[in-house]
Amino acid sequence: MKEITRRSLIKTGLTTGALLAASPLLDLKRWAEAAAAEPVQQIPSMCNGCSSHCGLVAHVKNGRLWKVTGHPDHNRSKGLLCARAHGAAAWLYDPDRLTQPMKREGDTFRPIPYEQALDEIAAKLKAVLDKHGPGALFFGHNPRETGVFYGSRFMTALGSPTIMTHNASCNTSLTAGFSALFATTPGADLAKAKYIVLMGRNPAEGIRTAHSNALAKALEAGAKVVAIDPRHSASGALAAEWIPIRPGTDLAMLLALAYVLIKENLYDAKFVAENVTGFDKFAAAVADKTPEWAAPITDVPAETIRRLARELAAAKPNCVIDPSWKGAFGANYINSTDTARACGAVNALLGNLGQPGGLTFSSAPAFGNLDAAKHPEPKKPTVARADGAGIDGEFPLAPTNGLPHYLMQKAKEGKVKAGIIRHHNPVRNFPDPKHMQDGMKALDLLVVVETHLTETAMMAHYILPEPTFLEREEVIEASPGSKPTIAMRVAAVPKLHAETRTFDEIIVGLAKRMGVGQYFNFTLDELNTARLAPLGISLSDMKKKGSITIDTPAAAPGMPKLKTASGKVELASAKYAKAGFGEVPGWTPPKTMPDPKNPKSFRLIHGKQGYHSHTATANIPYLLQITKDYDAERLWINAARAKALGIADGDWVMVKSKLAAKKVRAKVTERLHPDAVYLPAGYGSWSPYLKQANGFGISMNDFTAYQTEPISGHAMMMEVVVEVEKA
Amino acid sequence: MRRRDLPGLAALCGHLAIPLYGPLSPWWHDVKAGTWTEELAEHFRITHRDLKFASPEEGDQAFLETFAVPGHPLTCIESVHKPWTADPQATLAFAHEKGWLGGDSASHMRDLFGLAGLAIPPELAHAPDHLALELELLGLLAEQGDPESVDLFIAQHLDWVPNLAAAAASKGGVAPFYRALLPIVAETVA
Repeated sequence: MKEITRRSLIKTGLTTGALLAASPLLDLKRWAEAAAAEPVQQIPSMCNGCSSHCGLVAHVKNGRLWKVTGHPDHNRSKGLLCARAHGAAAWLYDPDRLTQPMKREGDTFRPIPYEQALDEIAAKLKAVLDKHGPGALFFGHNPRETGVFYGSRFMTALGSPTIMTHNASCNTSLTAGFSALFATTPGADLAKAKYIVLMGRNPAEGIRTAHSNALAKALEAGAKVVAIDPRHSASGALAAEWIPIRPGTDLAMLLALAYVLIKENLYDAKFVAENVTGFDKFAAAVADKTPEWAAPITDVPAETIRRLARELAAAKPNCVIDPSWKGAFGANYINSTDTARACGAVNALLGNLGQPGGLTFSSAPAFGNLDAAKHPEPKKPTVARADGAGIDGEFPLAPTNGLPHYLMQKAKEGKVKAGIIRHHNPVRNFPDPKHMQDGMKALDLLVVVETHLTETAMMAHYILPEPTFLEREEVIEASPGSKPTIAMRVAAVPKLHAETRTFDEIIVGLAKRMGVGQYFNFTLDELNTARLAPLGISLSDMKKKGSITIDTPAAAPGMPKLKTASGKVELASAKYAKAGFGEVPGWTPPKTMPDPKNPKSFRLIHGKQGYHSHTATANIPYLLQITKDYDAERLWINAARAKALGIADGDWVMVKSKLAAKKVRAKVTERLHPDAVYLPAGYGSWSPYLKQANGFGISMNDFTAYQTEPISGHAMMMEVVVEVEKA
Repeated sequence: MRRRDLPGLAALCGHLAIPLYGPLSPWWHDVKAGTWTEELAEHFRITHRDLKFASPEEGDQAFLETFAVPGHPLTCIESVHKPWTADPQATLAFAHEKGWLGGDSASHMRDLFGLAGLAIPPELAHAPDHLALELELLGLLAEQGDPESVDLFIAQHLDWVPNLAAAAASKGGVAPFYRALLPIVAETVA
């Protein structure tokens, strides 16, 4: 063998090698003993396993994550975390993470340096701006405060008002409906309620730990809980009574409840007289909505509806129909916005606003702003939103969180040309994936900022990887409540992958290249310091504590100050009338109904599981294993209907709509209304880069058409009828 | 204990690390141009018909497809192939399972690099236990001429390489160059 000098990328010398060879720590076992004896640090930060962003404490040993626990001072976690937080910790060390910028090359991606990626993206954004103007740009995200601040400011600087969230597939109708009555979306004081109606709301599975605990406290204190839901959910199992309503008919139930409360003089007349406008119009609208009228629509006996109204009235004002998240009046049905309005109206009739156990109206602490003299703010865009939200002739009553599915229609029509999407997977989580994909394919530029290569990232021209939530620092955010919390995500461990950048770094890099860098002439620390200034909290203290409860005087029970035009609850809405909709909520049947003559025909409904956040967590093996252990990806089907179709528990069934035909195993159960089949949300991933989730289970979105609800424009996720048969 | 030609092992480790670094290595152009392969044959008497590229572009493509593009078939990082930690106090769901970055091996390697006063290339900061870096460290130990430290390091940090070579042989998407290279690496650290 000829001599060759050892070539090395690392700089070495004789001394260093000798030191190493002689060290007892060269032995992994001895090193491990020493490492095990090292202390565990506790670093307060925030979870990112779902949209709740609970306060979290990261336990770190030798620079590695050791475990996570709930932050005791955060009002959403209150010292506890759900399974998703523990599962999401795995993202940090996932070898399938995105680790460097990727550029599309045909059907695949190639890594490129970050600076090159930002240069190319900026050039393409400029080209779109020059040719099509700022109205052709959009930003979409599942909102986190850093995205809210930096994403919005960047779009504003470029002149685009089209900033969207996931909400049109979640709670847009709820926001629009409650806003009409209260000018905000209320919460519920479950812990102090004597009587709770959960209308599709499922705190035992649609988890925020504080909500789940509040429900538990109410139960321990003897509250009666009634679950009105086509499905006997985990919350239904805790309830005293389950009312299996026909899906899509909750509006009829609410109108009939209002009828009984008014007809039998059971409502809080004093509260209504003092604090409610439009009562007469609403009363007139429900004058014929008797329980007998509602019974055949809802499949709930008239006497049950009447009894429910009377029991609620007996418990008023310490009772509540939970204002929910998605539940019965999220982005599900054509009547969901009016269902939310009716829910608000019935709560108002019960006089429960601001009362123990009733609707709550809390606000978040006011943050400070950057000094505008030093840090100029971009001017408000002058062009119209591209997604139709708030636009006359499109969806004037849609909230500003926007309509991503409608935007993709605009993209297909050539009216939208470029977008940035962060931490958001609309291709998989909105109905009709082909519609969403076709819209994205029509774009000149799609940039996705992500940690993993999701179905939406697969559509991107450029993918920019972010560090995971455990490695990055973010903009301070607030969690409203009777004891509001402010919280900050800090890096619990050093950034693992050198070629990942935080969203603020990405935006600042792009802004400089786009000629709007003057609007980003501050550091994240300077921004956070400015936000904290009015609260008298230093940034170093914030970083040290992670979550801080803001002392707020306890509000006296009673009517809160509402920001409606009248300052009162507005049962009749001039805005709705002006837009051509009912001034007060009235009955609208669901857009689609199963064919009663077809034994295979069902409405497809869906819901959350306590251990998954839609598709975001389906790729985490430890959470997916829970699904596997409990066969929890199965399609629920009513036992009598299944028997008629020859379907036994565990059988494979074929689910068909005009859009798709897919196989899944059946869970035959009596815990479901006969009209419905139910799928847990979060499965059906097709990204080959999500190795655990890919090909596991099916998604309701594959069967549901692209459609827009007329009032708030949401995606009508449960307006879908499928045929089910034994496979 | 196997008798090893430690000076030869030191040189070979440095040589084998180069194509595992890929474009990160200052000598990657030698690999793409075939010079590296010629040196492997000349100095170490190791040849394989697949240890060559038709063009420099093919070399870049081979590295990307095997190790870098999304969904790449092979991961040359020890942590992924070993239980994450031996520390019984760790309670994360994956604490004692395989398949994750940043395990004990990564921390140990980071500490060893620190002990030796060596800098890990920033591009591999997430993986101090990358095979290329482990070969480098093995080469450094071999240079010292202490067979015990060499054997200890191989036993504790390179025992996973035969499985990697087997995976390279059986998985689709692995470039022939690396399918040929990894058994050579495995033999070197046997």
